[in-house]
Amino acid sequence: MESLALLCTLHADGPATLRRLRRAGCRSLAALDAYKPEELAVLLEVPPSVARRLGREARTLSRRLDVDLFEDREEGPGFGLADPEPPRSEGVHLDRRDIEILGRVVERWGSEAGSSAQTPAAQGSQFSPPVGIPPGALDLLDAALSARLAERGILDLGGLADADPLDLAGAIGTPYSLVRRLQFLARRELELDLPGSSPPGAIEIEDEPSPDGIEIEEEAPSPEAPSPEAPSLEAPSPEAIEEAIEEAIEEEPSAIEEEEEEEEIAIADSPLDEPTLKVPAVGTGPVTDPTPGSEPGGRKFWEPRPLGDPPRSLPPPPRPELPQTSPIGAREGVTLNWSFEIPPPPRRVRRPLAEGPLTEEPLDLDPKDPKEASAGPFA
Amino acid sequence: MKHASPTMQVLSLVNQKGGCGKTTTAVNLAGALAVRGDPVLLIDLDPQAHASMALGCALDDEDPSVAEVLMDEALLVDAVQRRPGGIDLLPAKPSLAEFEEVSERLIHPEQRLRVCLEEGRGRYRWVIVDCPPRADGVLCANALFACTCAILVVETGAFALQGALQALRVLDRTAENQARSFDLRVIGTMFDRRTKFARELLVALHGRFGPSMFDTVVRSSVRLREAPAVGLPIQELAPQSRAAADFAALAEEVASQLGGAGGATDPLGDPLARAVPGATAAAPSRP
Repeated sequence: MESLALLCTLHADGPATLRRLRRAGCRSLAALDAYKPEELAVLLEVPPSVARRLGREARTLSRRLDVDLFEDREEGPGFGLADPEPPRSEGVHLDRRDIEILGRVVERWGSEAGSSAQTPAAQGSQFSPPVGIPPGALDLLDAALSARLAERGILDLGGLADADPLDLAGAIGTPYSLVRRLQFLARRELELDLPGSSPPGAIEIEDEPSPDGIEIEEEAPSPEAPSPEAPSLEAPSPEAIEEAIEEAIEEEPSAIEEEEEEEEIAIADSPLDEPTLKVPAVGTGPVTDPTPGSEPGGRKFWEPRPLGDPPRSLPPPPRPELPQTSPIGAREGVTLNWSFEIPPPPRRVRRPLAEGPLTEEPLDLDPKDPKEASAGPFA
Repeated sequence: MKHASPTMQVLSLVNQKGGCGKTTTAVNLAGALAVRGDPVLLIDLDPQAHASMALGCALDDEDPSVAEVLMDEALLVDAVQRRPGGIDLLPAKPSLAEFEEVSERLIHPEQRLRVCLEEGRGRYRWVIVDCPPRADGVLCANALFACTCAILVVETGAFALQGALQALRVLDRTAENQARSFDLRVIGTMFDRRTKFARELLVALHGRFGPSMFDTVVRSSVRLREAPAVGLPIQELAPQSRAAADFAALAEEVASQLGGAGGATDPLGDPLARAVPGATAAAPSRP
């Protein structure tokens, strides 16, 4: 959408205004700005005040699009034909023809300077066109398409994957779906080329080769996989539970009592006035299920609930009391005493239409006065 | 305007959001293209059959519709009806919703419409497909698989960009994974320039979609709301109205930008010939 069309839609009569402007050779906001309000008024057949306002809105919109949204979007063929401003210098984007001409010029300069007296600048000016993505690197990517991408500054797969598909499709003149397909293939290639493309978690140890010369692949601990030292979170099998119970019974009671002793951990620098805090030592306490879901009656959370046992409902957490007044002195809410109830319709006093029979009274027109008679009763 | 060698261009009007003007745009764009003298086929691919109703078409149960054409139970020429404004309509019935279930038993259900349209190749210059709101269903996939250009219809309203971006995601997936070549254009609808919100949104749409957006924005109009009620396109109901001027400008833009020889090129060749052998055979002659 051209910015001139946007202006006409926003502040004028849409396509009708746009057609008039285009017929007059005005194809951009800058070209519109060159018109005087009087000329614009004649062109659009509107009052000068309307033309003046349209010019003002054009300047505002031009400034706004330049700052926020313009981003060199309007580079289509025929854009800005009547643009009085000089074209923007775009040193990055070179046509293939420009590249060939520049190459010839550079070659000629090099030959004129002579092979013996070549300056360092001439030596370093071996012109080479921008090398883009090699044709065939992606399926569907031929040489012409690669050259067109290179002209747009897309020289690698990352640039292709990150480009805006809509802009790119319009810029290189290919269908949108082809650009999306190329981006999809480019992303896939990039994912395959990543250094971590080997199976995640596999680390090759190169510093210390094994004496047998066999490369050791060590499974790195992934965040999901439990470490060997960590207790397994899976529910133990019934056999394991029975073995643990038997082992606990076989142990001496004194040992169990010793384990049940609580270690005293002194907190010396605690600002609180508590010299010691009794905390059961890790791994030395009684064998209890630390999970909050364990039943107080000894039943583990993975054990099925016996029939008839009602499901345990956790008590709701205590609800904190809301302060009556705002701690930061916020303004108290004001009730406006709005009533959203629909009021009943006012009761109408029904009056009888007529007590007695209606008497039809003739209009009191005096035919003696001819002026009043001709004017009618409403004169 | 007659074309010496007409190339059939299939335009699918899509958006994930309902009520954004897809049907209104489809019907009246078809009418505007028909006024230019181009043979136009409008396909109602929405089980709600609003495009059919907008052209005053009410089908009986035994009348062939797009559902029967897609399920190979009727020929395209048998189901197409000539409607006011010179539009050929392939109408829909609510039974089209069953196609989603039937499609599970079909091979390449998303290519059915493309296969059926081969019958109309050479007869129609433009085929306008009015898609259902659900952009990720098999009906919309049919439209995307058959089209040469997908037109994203964006209402200049509160949820416009959200629905458009959702549909854009579907289009992206389709473009990435399907061996089809189609272009993408955006059109703004229901624009009311009296509201600042709509103006700001249009500027945002211009910034987001840039040159992919049509210059013409369809403005909201009372006439456009009245036209479906009388079963006529706006070109028949009020040819001098502002809405008719909008659609005339849109048709001109569509014809100049999308009506080139070949339109969107197909660099992959004809995938239909690979996927459905015999699909590109000559269309059966009209009885």
